[in-house]
Parts: sequence; C-alpha cells; structure tokens
Amino acid sequence: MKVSIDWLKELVEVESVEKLIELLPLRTIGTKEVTSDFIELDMKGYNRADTLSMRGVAYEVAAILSSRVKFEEENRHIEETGTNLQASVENEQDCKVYMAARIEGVTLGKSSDLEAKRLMDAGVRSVNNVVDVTNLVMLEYGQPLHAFDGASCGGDASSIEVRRAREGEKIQTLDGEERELDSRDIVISSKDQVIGIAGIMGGKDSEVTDQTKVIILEAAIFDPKVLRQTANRLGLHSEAAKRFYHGLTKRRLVQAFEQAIEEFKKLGGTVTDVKVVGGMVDEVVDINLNPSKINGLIGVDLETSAMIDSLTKLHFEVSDDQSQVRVPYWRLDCRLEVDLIEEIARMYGYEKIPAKELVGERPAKIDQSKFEKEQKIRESLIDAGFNEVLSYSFASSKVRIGLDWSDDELVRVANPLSSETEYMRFLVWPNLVEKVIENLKYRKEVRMFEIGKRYQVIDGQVVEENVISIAVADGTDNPLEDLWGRLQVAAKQNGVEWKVGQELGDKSLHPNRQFEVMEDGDVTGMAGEVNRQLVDGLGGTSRVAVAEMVIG
Amino acid sequence: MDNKCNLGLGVWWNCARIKLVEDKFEQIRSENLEKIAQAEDWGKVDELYLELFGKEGKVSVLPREFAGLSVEELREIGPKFNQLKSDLEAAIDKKRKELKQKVFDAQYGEKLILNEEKTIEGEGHMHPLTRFEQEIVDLFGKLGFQLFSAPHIDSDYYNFEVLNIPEEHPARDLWDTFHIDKHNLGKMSGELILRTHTSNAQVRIMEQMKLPIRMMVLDRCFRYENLDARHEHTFDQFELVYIDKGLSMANLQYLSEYFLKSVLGREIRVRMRPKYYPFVEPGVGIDGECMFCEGKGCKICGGVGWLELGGAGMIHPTVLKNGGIDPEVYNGIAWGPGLERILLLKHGIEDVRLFRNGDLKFLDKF
Repeated sequence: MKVSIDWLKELVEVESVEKLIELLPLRTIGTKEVTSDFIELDMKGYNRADTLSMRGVAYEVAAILSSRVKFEEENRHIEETGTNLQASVENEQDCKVYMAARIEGVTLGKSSDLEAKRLMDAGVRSVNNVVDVTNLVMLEYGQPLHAFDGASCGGDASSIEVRRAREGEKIQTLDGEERELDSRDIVISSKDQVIGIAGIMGGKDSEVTDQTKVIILEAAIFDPKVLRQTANRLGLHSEAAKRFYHGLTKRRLVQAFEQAIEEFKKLGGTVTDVKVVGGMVDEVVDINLNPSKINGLIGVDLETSAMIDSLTKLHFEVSDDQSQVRVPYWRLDCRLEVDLIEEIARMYGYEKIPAKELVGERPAKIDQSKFEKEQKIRESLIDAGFNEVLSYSFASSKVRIGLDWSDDELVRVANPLSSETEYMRFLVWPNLVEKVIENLKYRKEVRMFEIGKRYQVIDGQVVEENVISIAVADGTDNPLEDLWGRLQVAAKQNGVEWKVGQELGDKSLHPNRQFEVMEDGDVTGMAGEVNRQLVDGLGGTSRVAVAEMVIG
Repeated sequence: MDNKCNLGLGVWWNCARIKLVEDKFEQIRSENLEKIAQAEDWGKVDELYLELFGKEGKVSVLPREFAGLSVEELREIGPKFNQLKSDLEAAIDKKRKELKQKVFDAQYGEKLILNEEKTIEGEGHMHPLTRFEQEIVDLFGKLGFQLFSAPHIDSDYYNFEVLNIPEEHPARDLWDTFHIDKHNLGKMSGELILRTHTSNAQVRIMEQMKLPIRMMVLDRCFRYENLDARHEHTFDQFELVYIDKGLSMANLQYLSEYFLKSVLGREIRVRMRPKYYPFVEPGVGIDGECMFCEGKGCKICGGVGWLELGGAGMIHPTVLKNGGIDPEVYNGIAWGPGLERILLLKHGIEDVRLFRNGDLKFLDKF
C-alpha cells in the first residue's frame, strides 16, 4: 500500500513525518519504500485489511502519534429507487452484498491535478474522471468499485446478475486479453453477456468511454477464496482483488458507494436507480479484557489504565466495567484475546519489553542418538581427511543426463524454476562427482563428503533417507582404494564396521570396482569407482570413486 | 548441374572450374577419412587434426583457392566446403571417442584392489554452516533444548493448514512454494510440497512430546525463488519450539539476546518489532544492531542502524489447539532465524550461493 503523504495529512494530524516514518515499523508494520511523496507499507501476506485504505491508515497513524483523524464516521443509509435497473445474485455465498447505481449525465473528462497527484502517489494510473473516482474512493475507503458503461448492461432496461461463469464462456478483459472462464469463476453479467470478472477486472466491451451516456456503478463483497483462485489461475492480481482477499466491511461499502455517487453528482450526474442485494449489518466483536493475562503474555507490568488508553487510541470501545472491549468495525484482524494483547504490546512498544530468563523445569532427556551419531560420523570423516560440502537437494541436470534413472522413481517438482530444480536428487553422490570435477581445476586431490537427504519414489510413496555421501579423486588410477582406506579409519573412530559386500551390477560404476557396503550384516549402501563415461560426460578426465551409506 | 553445362561456353567454363574444386574436396575427404580410420593412438589423431585444421592445414587453406570464383560459384561451393569440414571433424571426433572407450574398456578389466587401513595426513574441513549449527545446538542444549527433525517433502497440512494458514489465505503469499508432481505417486497421495520453513515440525512436536517442551529444529527449507547473490531457493532455518506455562514475550527477548550475543561473540543490542506470521500472535520481527556501523546507519542496514535477523512470536492458540495443547493453560514461543543470513553478516560473505556450490577454495577459509 502506497500511502500518499499529502493525502494522509488531510485525513489525520501529522506533526512530524520523520517521527511517523520512524514509528511505523516499531508500532505497526515495516515500510518498503519512503519518498517525499509516499510511504509504502510492506503488505506482503499481511493480515491488516484496514491498512489497505487511507482511512484505515489514518486511524492507525492517529493512534501511534497520539493525534486525531480529521474525518467523521458517516452513518449513511441507502434507499432503493428506480425501475430502469435490476440486480440479482445467483448464490449468496459468492456475494454477500451487491449494490448498483445507474447514473446519467456524467461528462467524461480529465481529473483535477490534485486528484491525479493522489493517484500517482498511490501508484495508480489516472485514466479519466469516472475511473479515477472509483479508484480514489477505493483508496480512501478500501472498498473496490467498478463503473460499467450503461449501454452494455441493457440501456434503459439494465439488468445485472452476479453468477458463476458457464463452461467455456469468454470475456475480453480491460487489458485486452481474452480470458476463458468456467464454473469456478464469479462473473458480472448483463442479460446477454459477461461484462466483468467479479472483483478482478471489468470487460473491454463494458468499458466507460467518451461515448458513455449512462454509468452503472458497482460495489460488492465477493467471496475472497473464489476470487483468489480465479486470480491465481488467470494471473490477475489487481489492486481491487487484493482488497477482496483481505476482507471488507459493509459499513465501508455503503460509505464508499455514497461517496462515489457524490463525486459523480459533482461531474454532472443524476442517479436514476439504486439497487441493493444482501444484508447491511457487520458482525460485532467483543473481546474479554484480562489485564493480568495481558501482562503475563507480554512479560511486563502495565497499569490497566495504560492498556485502556492504548485501546481507546485505536478506537476500541471499553465497557463500563472494563471487562470487555468492542473491536472497531474496520479491524477484521482482531478476533481473539491474543489479538488484543498484540494491540496493547505494540502500542507500548515491543522494543521496551525487557529480557527475562527462562524459568520452569527442564523437559526430560529424550533419545538424541540419531543426531549424535550423525555428528560423530561427520567428525570422523573430517579427521580422515574428507572435506564437508553441501549441494542442492535437486539433481543437477548435467548429472541426470549421464545416469539411468527411471522417471517413475524420481521425485519431480511440478513447478521448477529451471531444469536445475526439476528433480529431487535420487542419490547424493552424483552431485558430489560434479563438484569434485569442478574442484580438480584447482587441485590435484579432492576428497569430499555430504551428509544429507536423498529422495526416492518407492511403491508410489516419497521416501527421504539421510545418507553419508563421499567422493574422491586422488590422482591415482584407483581412487576407491584411498576412499575405502580412509573410510575404514573413520569407521573405527566412530565405532561402526563397514564391510565389503556383494558386487552391485550398477552400470554407472566400474564393472569390477563396485560393491555393497555392509553394516552389521545388512546392506547399508554402496561404494565404487564412477564409470569413466559418466565422468567424461561431466567434463572430467580423472578417475573418481564414491560411496553412499544410509545413516541408520 | 548437367543441364546448366549445356547452356553455353561461359557456363561450361564455370562448371569445369567447380568440378576441379569438387574433385579436390573429394580427394581430401577420402584420403583423410582413411587415415583417421587407421589411427591407433591419441597422438596420431592430434597430428591428423593439425594437418587438416591447423593454420596451414589442408582444409584451412582451401578457401584461398576460391579467390577467383564468382558469387554464383561460391554459392554452389560454400555448402560443399562446409560439408567436407564437418565430415572430417565428425570422423576425428568419433575416432577420439573410440580410442577413449578403448582406454576405458581396458580399465574395466582392472580388479578390485582395496587396502583396509590407511595412514592419514592432514584433516578435512567442516562446512561453515554445519559448524555454525553445531555451535547453536550446544548453545541451546545448555538451556535444555533438544533436537527434532521433520520431513523436507511434506503435506500442505503440516506446512500450512495446521499453522493457521488455510488455503487461499492472503498470508500464503509469504511463502513461494515448490509443489511436487504427483504423476508417479499413489492415488491416495495428498498435495505434497517442499517445506517452506522448519515450522512444519511445530505441530508434530506438540503431538509427540510431553509438556513442557523445549525443542529445536535446524534443517533445510525451500522457496520458489530465483538465485542471486542475496537469494537462495535452498536455505537452512533454525527454530525453537518452547511450550510451558507462563511464557512471555520477555522470554522471547531473552532468547534473542542469548543467541545473538553468543554467536556474534559480543554485546549487541537486539530489539523486537511487530511482524505478522499467521502461526504466532503476537508476531515478532527480531532486529540486531547493525554490526557494520554499530547502529549509526550505513549502506548495509539501509541507514536504519538495524538488521532484520529472524522471526518469532507467541504460538497462536489455534496452532496449540491443533497440536492438542490447551491454550488456556499453556503458551508457547516459536523463534527462528535463517542461518545463512547471519553467517553472511558475521563473516562479511557477499554471495549466499557460495554455501552450496562445493567450491573448496571458499570452504577452506573456515
């Protein structure tokens, strides 16, 4: 959310912008960018729907600066009127409230410089005075609005329906793209055609142009989940859509709708019809106020009066007996006692909370042998002259080419960044062979190991195993001898016995120099010299030996 | 070609010249393909290569003979010349591969020779990341925290849902996620992803451990993120899960101070700041005083004097409930930084990719 500083100052008393910039991250939310024109709040994944509106930001700023907002909460009421417009909603779940107004006589033109500057500060392009009104009202109240060209809605007998799209129904959206829709999508429809994808983008055919004589203004609350699924599928996350995902209130919807109508009247418009579908009452939420619990969770000793002072600044209403607080209607993020505790903690200042040592009994010791064994093996390998490396959990594409892995056994990533992240590593050693070859450009001998996971599909199940993987090139024509000799030293040190078992029959290895590694009579892994073609394919000329054992 | 040669004297002359050049091509081709086929060692092949493609090589000098040819003639000769070149190159390449294979085949006759014991000189190095993790395990072991591990490939349920992050919740934007393709998995398999954080261990810990709980997870996580010097799709996270009666944000501040002072080896100011994560409430961002400017403000900290080092918070009551714990009786702290970031800052390392590219020149420095 880009907050225009000039506009903010008209909504709330701001004595010092510097102070505000300093306090925002300490009391409210991080800032992404600050210029002399705007402050951009870091809204990624954030839960505060209210901070997607200038009014919401103004309330927050007033609370943290101990100042006042300059606007009143209007208690507006909407009356239905007119016979030239019908509106209906197919399924109440999809659209809790739908409001539409038919407005005649608006003269299309350019917005004023002040309005254009506000839009620019907010990062929104000025289009024309009609579209700009819907955007400015959205920015101030947080409620998305849309203006359709009346002619495309049926002229004097306009009719609008909110419904699910029919299979294969198409619409050309405002950005000029043709979009195919289906029953997963909520659409706005006239008698004969889809005129917009609900909450996401209007249609090109119903765009307001200089030919427009009548406007249909829309304000609604659509199901955020359905919208988000559609937006994800179409890759269309508009400013409006974002506000639907975060949640909207009916009270702001009415305020925004009325405000937009006021603005259109200033542009010469006359309202002929208003239609409302759905109820107008917001949920009222009361939360218990339990000062000792609040102090307990924050770890401080605040007076109740200080808590009440903070909550009042944030427009929470405290009951007379101080046992309950009522959440302001625009704070959809506050529903639980812990939410209230957060409000009090942040108004106090997280940075002032002192450090307190951990008390309380220590949990009983549990079996940690798995981790201890891994660390012991690590240390013994290092003592035996191996260097520890880490490679990606993905199978390098170069390595995959040379190996005969069946696609059925590989864990495949459905949305890889590139071919390098398309498959999880089936074995770890091939990744190490690639690293050995790279290092051989700078040194004659390379001995490395990695302790990490490999990922395989076995009987239709993903199996992750923690393994020790080793790779050696020592400049001789029998690196396996070096690897195995050192491994024996390491084994002795950490008290395991790794023994030579049967030949593996693995084509990626030297036909005679390969064997199963046995531990306590069971196969625990493999060792061998890497097939020369494989090394050659990776651009290497040396002989490389590898081993890989499961850590039991 | 024959048709053209019947058209007249001038054209006939052209055709004759082309014929001459072509004959020469043919001669070079057959002579040398024969020689290449007969070569028996690398040295001979290298010699033949130079004879053909060296500075004064037979093929290299051929274009000099085209000097007198017209544009039309060149158009006809050009492709033929290229064909000759590629035929000879391919033959040499093939021969080299054959010889290589011969060497490999000879080696494949070698027997398995192992020496059971080995005298070792010189030690290897531990990777800086695992060394750092070992340090942390020791540090928090002293406070009674014990290790736990959870899968890398996990269900949407444990990675998101039980952590109070329902499907289509805007908070999902915080985690760009790799998804697993299910084509070769059983029909009963649910959505699988590469875990985006070690927090997929949280509810498992609650399900499996007795209260009070002090557990820690140090392991690999994944994000759908393009690589550059500051961004990795693979990184290690450290996370504490601490559940007991009467825990507070003040304990959280203690853990942050304890951790940063110990790992950075000096007094450093640490502060908490509001931050939103759906699985904690209140949510906390942990800042450490910038170690480069000691809080004065510099390029690295963006002039603010603080660096964001980790995320934390009081475990959300919904998450505790999902783990079968009564939030009216117990509360919890979840606390954890990304480890590479702290190491980058601690050692002044400029490129996060260095941790996983296996370059021993870099790793040897630690």
